[in-house]
Amino acid sequence: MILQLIVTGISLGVVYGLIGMGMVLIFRAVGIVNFAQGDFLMLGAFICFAFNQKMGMPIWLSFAITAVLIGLSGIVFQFITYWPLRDAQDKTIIVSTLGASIALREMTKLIWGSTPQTIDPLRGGIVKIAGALLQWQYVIIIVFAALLMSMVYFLLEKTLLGNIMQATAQDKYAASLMGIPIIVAIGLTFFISMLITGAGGVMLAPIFFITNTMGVMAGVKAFAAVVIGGFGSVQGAIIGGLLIGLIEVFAGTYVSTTYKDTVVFAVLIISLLVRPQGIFGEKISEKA
Amino acid sequence: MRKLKIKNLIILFLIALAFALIINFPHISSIYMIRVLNMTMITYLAVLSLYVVFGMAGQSSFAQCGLMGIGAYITANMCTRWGFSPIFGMIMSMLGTALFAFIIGFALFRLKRFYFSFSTIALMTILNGIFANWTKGTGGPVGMGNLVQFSVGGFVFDTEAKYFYLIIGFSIAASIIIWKLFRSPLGRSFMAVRDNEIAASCMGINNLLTKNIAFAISGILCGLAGSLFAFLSGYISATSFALPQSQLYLVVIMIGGSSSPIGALIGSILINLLPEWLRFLKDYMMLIYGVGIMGLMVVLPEGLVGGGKDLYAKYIKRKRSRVDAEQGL
Amino acid sequence: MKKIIALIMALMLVLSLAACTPKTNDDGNTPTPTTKPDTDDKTGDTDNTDDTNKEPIRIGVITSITGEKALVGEYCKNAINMAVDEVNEAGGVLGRPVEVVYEDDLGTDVGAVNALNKLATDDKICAIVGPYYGTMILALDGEIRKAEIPVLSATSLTTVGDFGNPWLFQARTHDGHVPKALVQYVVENIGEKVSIIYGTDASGIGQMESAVSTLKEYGLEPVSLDAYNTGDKDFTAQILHVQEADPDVIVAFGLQVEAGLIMKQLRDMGVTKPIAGLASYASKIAIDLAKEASNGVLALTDYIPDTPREEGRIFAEKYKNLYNIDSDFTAAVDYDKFQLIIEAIKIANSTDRAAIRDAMFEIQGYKGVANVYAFDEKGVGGTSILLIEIQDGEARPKDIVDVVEWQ
Repeated sequence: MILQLIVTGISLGVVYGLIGMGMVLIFRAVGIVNFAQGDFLMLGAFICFAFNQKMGMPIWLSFAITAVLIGLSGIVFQFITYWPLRDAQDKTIIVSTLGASIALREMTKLIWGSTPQTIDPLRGGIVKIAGALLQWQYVIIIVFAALLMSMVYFLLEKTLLGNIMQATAQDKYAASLMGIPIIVAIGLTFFISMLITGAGGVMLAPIFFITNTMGVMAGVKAFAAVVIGGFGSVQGAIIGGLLIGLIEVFAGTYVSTTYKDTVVFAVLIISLLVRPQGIFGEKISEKA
Repeated sequence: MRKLKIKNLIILFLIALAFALIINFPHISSIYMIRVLNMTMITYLAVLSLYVVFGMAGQSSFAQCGLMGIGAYITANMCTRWGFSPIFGMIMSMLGTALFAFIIGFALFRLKRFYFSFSTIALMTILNGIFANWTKGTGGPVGMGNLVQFSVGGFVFDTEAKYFYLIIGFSIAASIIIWKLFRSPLGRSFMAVRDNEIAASCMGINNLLTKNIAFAISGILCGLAGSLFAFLSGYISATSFALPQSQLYLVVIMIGGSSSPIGALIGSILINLLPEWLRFLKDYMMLIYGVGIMGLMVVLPEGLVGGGKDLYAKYIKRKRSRVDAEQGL
Repeated sequence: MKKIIALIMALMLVLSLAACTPKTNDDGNTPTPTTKPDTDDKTGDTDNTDDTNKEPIRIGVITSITGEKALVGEYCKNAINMAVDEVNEAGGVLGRPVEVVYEDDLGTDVGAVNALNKLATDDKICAIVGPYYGTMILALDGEIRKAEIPVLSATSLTTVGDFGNPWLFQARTHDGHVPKALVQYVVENIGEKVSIIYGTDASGIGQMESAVSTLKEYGLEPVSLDAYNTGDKDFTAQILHVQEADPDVIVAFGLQVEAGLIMKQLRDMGVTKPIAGLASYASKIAIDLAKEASNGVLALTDYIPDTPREEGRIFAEKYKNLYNIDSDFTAAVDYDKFQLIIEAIKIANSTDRAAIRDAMFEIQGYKGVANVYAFDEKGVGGTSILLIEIQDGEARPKDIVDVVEWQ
């Protein structure tokens, strides 16, 4: 039973981690907090639904196409939401992303209707590990998410492209002086950010179904994950996500099934009080 | 001298006209419209609270709706369950919410700008969870119904029109108080903290205490709004006090303009009346609303009030330069 | 100074605009003075060329067009539009065509109240099909009394009849009866060890309490009792408790999406015991989401497309032909609400609101799509419920259970 809880918790946790990572990437690149991040989870799920269920394509192919499309939508999002407001105050951008969140949800509702949907799992069926019955999908989520995270980490730290992105994130002006095309770097950041978030949506969809509000709570919990892990740190987002996922599942079982979200956010507040910079507490210079 | 007198007369005339309009409004309008305006004013009180903590003190809070909920449930419990008088219930709502805000503020305000905002998101979710599940205190998901109406002495407020007068009275009173606050040393200390905390503390301002006081004042307003909401609706449930509404208030004040309480008023009016005027858009209404917010932030980041001020400033500038040109400068 | 002027002008502008919003018609037509429709002295005249007779009868509908609950709104509009066309093709009511005005409750209680006020203010609207959700009905109670307009609701809350609101009717077999019947069935046919999982929304809690008190009558208690919040996606905690308790049957209460999730997750975690639920567990939405996990699930519901009721089968086929998707119980119930209003107008032979209200009480034994309706003195009208079992992704009827004596 404990194993069941742990696996479910980690599974949920890595998805929160993926969303959180997306948020952190954007924050590091352009210094904005994207309140619409969770809704890209939902968008990814719906796009995959369109290919997998409506057009009948096999799930892995749909997944790949969805990944590309949602990355592109990230770039579109950047141009619509961030670029016109790149010199504006924080609060303005926050509100703009709030508006984007609403618009995204309404758009998917208009396109695909309000009926909850589902898609094929990446791998169906059950596997028995150490006496616990687990869905293969949960295992796949953990493996795949870990893969995505390491890929992103590798990209950022070890490749030239990644270094360009990091340089732009640290200091846009200096980067442009060095001949780095910042708009490309930022675009790439948004692309990757939305891609991993959307991928999370595709992986969750067969388990939790697709509704147009599925991204909302996940987005808020991803915030919590990012803050607990240390805002601005990619590893922090991952670790924070895992923690939140585990806390949620264990609190649900041992404390109260209805207050589990309350527990999660109480932990967030405690974490903010005890260690506001989070576990990894990386201080990236904020926009002044 | 003469110009001043005419100006005064005009203002007096306008005030009289507005007064007449307000008094007669319920007679020339439908119950439906009165209710919409009543809700608008309650929203205005909540957004005004956000103005105090956000526009003046610079802290974005997502917890206003939760504070409103506290006010509403205090009133509901005090008046309907325990039989206290409505006025007492209302005062307790305002004080209770303010006290809660003040105490919690000490914990939350130690955090910097957007960490504070996250903590308010967490606070809001926790409050909503309690509202929705604590059946003993809040009725849980079923909520609390058959709430006592507001009454003073023997006079019971039982029609929409009577609430209209009551609520508009409170709104005007609250606006005047906040306006005074804006011009007071305390208000200026809020703004000092908003603009530059380090400089403010150099001037001898205790940042933590100041932010806390701002939050407590916003608590008073939210408590009032929640209390009025409970009296007006006769039924409250957790769904009315959730994160989306809090986000909405932030959007409202940005649309109106966060730099002035008038922005709160204009924003509230728009957000409550626009859906009514735009009902013909039906399915597309919310989509246009979302896109509209995005567009508005690009075009008018200071909100409508800010945009208005900009236009006015440009007009003055043009006028002045024309005068200069005519005088051969 | 200038600011004060600006402020006052803004205030006056708003008030004037608000006041000048036309009180009656939505489409901006200036209201024409109407001859009172019920003092029609051409009672036997079905001649449609007479102008005063052609004035359409207006019925209001409050539903969720936007907001989180917009799915219910889709079904509602589909069903009611279908009904309006049927009625009009048959010549209308009292020789007049019928027209529907939809108002969006935005999925919130406050929105429902605004929608009600807007409809009630229109003098030409004689009755209202109310929103589906319990908390909205709770919020509307006071307003309905003030507005004095008959409203039909289909929430399953037990307490609606006890409001004592003469204008509010409940066209549904409510949760005082249905969970009881369900528990009785499972205890007598499956086993005495019952696990209960329920959603903490207004109806879920009422259903759970009804179930628990029914168990008490047998001298039993649920072997596990777990709640969840509507909107939750992961039920691992609840299911683990169920596994520990080792029940004979699992009884579950809640809304459709969670129903689908619970059925699926129970089976995925290896729980093979029978599952029994209410209307949401029989709904197509839940079945399509849960897929194979829904096989063998029992439910008590108002309506399934494969209903044994004749009127229901006709409705199901028409709906499918018209909209290409299967109807759901909310659509069927909304259809019935509308038809009940039409029936009441016919009995009253008038579109006066009070007359319609009085006529509603006279409806005894009306055979609807989802139920047989007979209104008692509290305004509660549902009398029976349908027992179904899900086989191969389709809900199949097993029995009609009469739960309320009305004859």
